Amino acid sequence: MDNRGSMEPIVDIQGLSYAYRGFEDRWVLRDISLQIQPHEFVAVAGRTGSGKSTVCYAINGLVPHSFGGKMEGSVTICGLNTRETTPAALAPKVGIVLQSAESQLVGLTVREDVEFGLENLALDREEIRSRTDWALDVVKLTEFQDSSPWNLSGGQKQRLAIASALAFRPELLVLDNPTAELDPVGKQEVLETIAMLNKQHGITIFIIDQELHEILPYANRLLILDKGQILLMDETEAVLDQAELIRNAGVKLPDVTEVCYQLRKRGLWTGTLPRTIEQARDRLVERVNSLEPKASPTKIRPQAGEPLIEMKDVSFSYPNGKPVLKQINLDIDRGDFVALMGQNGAGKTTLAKHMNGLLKPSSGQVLVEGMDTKQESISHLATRVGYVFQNPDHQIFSKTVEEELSFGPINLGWPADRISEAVTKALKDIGMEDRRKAEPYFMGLAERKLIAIASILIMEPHVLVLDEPATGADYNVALRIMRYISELHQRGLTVIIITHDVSLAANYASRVIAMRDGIIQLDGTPEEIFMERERLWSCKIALPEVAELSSCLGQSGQKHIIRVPDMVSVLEGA
Amino acid sequence: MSSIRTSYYEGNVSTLSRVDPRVKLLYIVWVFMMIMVFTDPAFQSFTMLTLVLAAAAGGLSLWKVMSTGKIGIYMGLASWVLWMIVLRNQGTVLLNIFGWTITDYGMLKGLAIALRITSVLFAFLIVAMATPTRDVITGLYGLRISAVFSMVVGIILRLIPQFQSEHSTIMEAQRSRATEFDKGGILTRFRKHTAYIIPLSLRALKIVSDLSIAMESRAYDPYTKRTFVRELKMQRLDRIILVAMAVFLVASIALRIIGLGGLQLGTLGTGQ
Repeated sequence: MDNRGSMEPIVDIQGLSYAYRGFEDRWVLRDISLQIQPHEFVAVAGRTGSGKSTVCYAINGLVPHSFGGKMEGSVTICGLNTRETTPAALAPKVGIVLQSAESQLVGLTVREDVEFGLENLALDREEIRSRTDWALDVVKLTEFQDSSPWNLSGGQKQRLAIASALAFRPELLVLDNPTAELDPVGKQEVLETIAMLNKQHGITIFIIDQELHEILPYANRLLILDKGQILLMDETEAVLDQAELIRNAGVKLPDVTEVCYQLRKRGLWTGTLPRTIEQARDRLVERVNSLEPKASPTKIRPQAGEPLIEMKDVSFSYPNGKPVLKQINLDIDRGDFVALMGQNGAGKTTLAKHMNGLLKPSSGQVLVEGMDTKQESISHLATRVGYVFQNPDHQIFSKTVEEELSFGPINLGWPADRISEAVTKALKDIGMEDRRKAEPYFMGLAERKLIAIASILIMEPHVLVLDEPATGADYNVALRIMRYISELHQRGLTVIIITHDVSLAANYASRVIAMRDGIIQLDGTPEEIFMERERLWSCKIALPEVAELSSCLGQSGQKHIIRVPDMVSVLEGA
Repeated sequence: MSSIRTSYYEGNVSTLSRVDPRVKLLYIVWVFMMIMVFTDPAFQSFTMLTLVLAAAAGGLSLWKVMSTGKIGIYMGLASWVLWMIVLRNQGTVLLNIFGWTITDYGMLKGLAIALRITSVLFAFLIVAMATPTRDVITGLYGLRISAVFSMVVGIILRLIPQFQSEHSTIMEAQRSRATEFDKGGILTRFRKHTAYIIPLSLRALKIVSDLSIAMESRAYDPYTKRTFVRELKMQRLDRIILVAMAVFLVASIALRIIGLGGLQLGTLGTGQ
């Protein structure tokens, strides 16, 4: 039952417009008005730059107190006007958890981190100890209280950030994309903790999350922001029913919603769009049963070329002695599009860094096009295996895009005319011919990622390794990056992506390798791998939502399907 | 994934780790004053000896301490060599290497300066390796040092290892672009080094900005009263150390006033 309006709202935003200091003529938020009642669970989504984080900062008073800038309208939290109340004074009412768990770590032990905020409130020592015990117990981190927070897993770090906010005993918890950088297990841990706080402790939740299929099972209301304005805000089902608007706002629909939306466009689905498989199952089973059985579409792994990278009995340990890779035997063949998967710490990045010689095996051998990486310099191997790091900001340093792209070829000692020609081609490839002299550091995430990729590709490697190419990017940005990578693969480049995103692996990869504890557990085509539910889960990898849907429909005679377009074509009887 | 070091603190339970953080911070100041009082390396060696004793009391291996502070050793050595070059025409010639003379004055004066540079750094390192960062901050507050300064010291101690981790990632990212930092002429090397200096600086700004948001959201205000969970209480050992430091400092100043502890070289007797 909708009881909004019957209580005093915990959040009351009226006509909020805001522009950051130094950019006062550029409104980030435009006339936002919304109310949130106590105990609600509100999910927020929108493309990068839509103003989501700024709303969070407005709710806990950082806007305008810390960020300055120009603000119009009013924000009232638990009856306190944020213009007149500092973030420190609001902290006991509003807890905030940011996207990067690491950037929030203040203490050098888990316990210290939680105590930090309470010390700032000048509470007496007994009260601090008791609240810290309680908060750590709620998020189930008591056993780690004396550990360094830096040695926790991603999910645990984010639960610690929640505990640090929780220790204030806030009425409202604001979470800015808290699961964006986590593996599936970490995401589940964090979302279940948040749901428990809402249900058992009555804490109001305002959470930004781009992955609607993960957050919607817990949310009462969904808010879609676009260009600093509220595009949609209503009960989740009602918002989800506006599928076209959501997609246009750069937000990915849950796969099951997308499938039914596509069917509705073809006149094959009537009524409200579902948000869970359970809501869609009966009607889809009915539809499947009415169709004549056909062979399911399958993405065939292309004929393997010769091996470009060969790993023979490769083991690796860091100086602390901890083994990270154990007896790996692996060939990467020309033309492969590999998705390297597994939970954090499984050894994916360590394995990938052996491919371009950044790391050398403790034992065993890595051959790149027949060359032993132990005998070759990284700069020589860079012309064979390109490695793009997850964060483009670790790479970009030049004043112009042109200089950034030229850096690798200069290091390789190419002549000026060859460099100039290569830069022109690279700019054309990423669609930035007119931005040759632009400053890369101030571009959007998609552009920075594309420049980072192009600055590696310009050295003409035969294999491209990308660490989490789409992480942190909104749907449209991720799509743009993945389309570019896919196009490169079509042109003959061998591609390896390290990813947690099962949907991305299902849609683009021709081969999936799943790792656990430094060992390759599964290696095969996405169709083969995404049938191995139990073995995948042992590597902490979930099935794509479509594969889950396919399993449900499988009982009605359908074969295994792992991609949305394939599922749609099967259901429309094409 | 290698585990990230987030603090110099080694976590050993030792005699030094039990010493009140205020006393340990005063020890750093004491080392600075003691090493400045004397210019004769023979007298300075007493202060250096206390560093060895402090490391032993902290259960720290000398190798680990020296390896952590190797930059200080390099700086000390560089300074020593420079002074020997600058003062090559003063004092008695000890050696002649390819036309460069090394004098006793240059050698001892250089050594004295090198000890000044390294001693304070190693005193700081030994204390940091035997003291949780939060205790360092609590100690600074306890010594009535400005709240802002105390928190800044704490944040720097918290951030240095994170910056080291960022530095390592950025270096790997640039090596993947065929960057060989140790090859090429001065200008080429300078350009190559900007490839990590600029991203590291920008990342540092982002990290500091994120941390300040996190701290402010947790009610941090440097100008308001706060509680410290850790209670500071001077024990018998702390008082003994304080008294010993005071006695040695006064005695050292007295020795210097009566003319001992200055650099004495044959007829030179500069006492500088």
